Amino acid sequence: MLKSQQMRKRIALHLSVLIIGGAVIRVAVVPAEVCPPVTALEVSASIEAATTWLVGGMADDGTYTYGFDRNEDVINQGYNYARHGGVTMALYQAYEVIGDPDLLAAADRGLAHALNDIVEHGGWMGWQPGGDIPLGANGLLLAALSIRRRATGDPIHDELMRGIGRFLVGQQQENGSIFASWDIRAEEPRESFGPFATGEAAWALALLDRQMPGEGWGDAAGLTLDYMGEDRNRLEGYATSLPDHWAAYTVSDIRPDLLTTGRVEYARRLAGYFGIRLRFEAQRRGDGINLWLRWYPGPPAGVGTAGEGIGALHRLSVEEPRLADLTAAIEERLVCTAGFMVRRQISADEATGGATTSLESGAWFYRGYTQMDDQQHVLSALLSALPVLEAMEEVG
Amino acid sequence: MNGLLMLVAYMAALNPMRTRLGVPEHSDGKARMGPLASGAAIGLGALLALAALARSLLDALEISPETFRIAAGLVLVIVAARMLFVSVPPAEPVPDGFGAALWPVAFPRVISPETITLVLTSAASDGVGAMLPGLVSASVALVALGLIRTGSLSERVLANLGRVLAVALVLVGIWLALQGVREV
Repeated sequence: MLKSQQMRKRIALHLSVLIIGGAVIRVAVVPAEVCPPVTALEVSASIEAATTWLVGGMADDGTYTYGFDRNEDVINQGYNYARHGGVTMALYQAYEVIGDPDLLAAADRGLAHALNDIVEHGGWMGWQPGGDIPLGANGLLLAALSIRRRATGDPIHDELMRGIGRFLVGQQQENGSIFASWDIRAEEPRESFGPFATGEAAWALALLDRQMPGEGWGDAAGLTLDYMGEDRNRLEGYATSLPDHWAAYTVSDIRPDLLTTGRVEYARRLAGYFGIRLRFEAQRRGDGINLWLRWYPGPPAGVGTAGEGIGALHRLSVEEPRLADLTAAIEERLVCTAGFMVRRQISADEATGGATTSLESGAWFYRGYTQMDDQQHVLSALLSALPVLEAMEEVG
Repeated sequence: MNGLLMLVAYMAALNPMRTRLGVPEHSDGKARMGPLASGAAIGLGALLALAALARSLLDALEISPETFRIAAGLVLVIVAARMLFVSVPPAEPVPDGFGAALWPVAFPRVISPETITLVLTSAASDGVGAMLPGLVSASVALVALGLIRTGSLSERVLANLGRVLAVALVLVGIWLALQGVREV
């Protein structure tokens, strides 16, 4: 009798460890990754709402609404020209996928604003929105121009594209690193780096190479791609690998014959960074105990960049046999991201109806605040997800 | 996981050396082979049933296999650390007769947090076919070790070999967690 009681106690103890341990792991380590079902139609509607936010908030001079706090009902009057380039680029991406001429016209207005401040120096051309000439803004401007040319076939800006390309290459060092600005007083590159400017420039060069083949732009892009994959974290002092979506775009858009084994492996590592970021994001609900363990759903720009990165790598994995084993998992992450970001977008019904309702609908907010790059990055991610969803729906 | 790593992982998780020290014995130190073999078979069957359901179970819980690898790695490292410090499983009250196959052989010696976790992650990620040889080999090794009569020397040898497998389990756990982080 005593032995049987002891046995029951021990069985209960072991079962308790299993159940309580399982519950702790479930809540703290692996909460549900929520991927709301989403259709291509819903993603299209979300894209339209986001572009409406961006285009609807444009001023007559071609600038965009920078930021909006819905809690205070206040528009942020600040501005950032790298983000101007980024939003313009995203609108060209949207035009390329959707084909709406109004998007092309809006992007051209954004482009015209930048073209007012183009300077020439020593054979190169650069966008100088004020002070030193920034690498990142010029990289994104060149990316925008390259996507515009790819989408329209219009060669009107070819010489400007080459001129900006020469500026980017002029900033590039022998090891592939690229200085983040041109010092207008010293008339030489300023010896500092930006976390994202390097990738923006490399991507722009890869895109330029596709539009102007045989001019050497792809080799320059490849040099910086290798630097980002091999040396950047160490030389620029990053403690962890930088999950750089611009690098993902670069490796995706670089000419296939430049895809060395090292670059393909870098693409695989990037897919891993974005994968864990997006899996973690899918675990965020922003309420109850989940709020304490996972915090609020992430800033839209951050989530969007991970979505953009995985979207760029999806295109690469479909075309590059050495990455074909990643395609299914990448599609899963991309579609999941589209699902939860479409749900997180503020719809017209959810807008509070204040004086600036037009700056709520179609936007993604982080704790009540949204910025132009929130819309830009999520828009680009959704544009990558749309053809994937359409293909899935076609297959059934 | 490739075949060799899978074998090492299951050997480390089931840890036949250490587990041998916690199975019912006769008074002369020989294992009670009937309950040991039956319990190992029951545990194996239950774990294989779990393996067959692994993907569906994770889907139902909305956990991707990649993310579950992180949790599995964490569990294995914690359990392995305990194995290192407690090299002999705690003595359990043992029923007479066939009941000993169910308790304590099938549960908690064979069906344990570490084997459940490893089965879920390996079956969900690599399929039942890939994990089967590792799980069967570890179970067979456990039954085979039942033929060893425990004494002070053999206990020390088994306990130390069990520690070696515990170190291997730490490494497997770390590897799994890193894979879970690096995978898409």
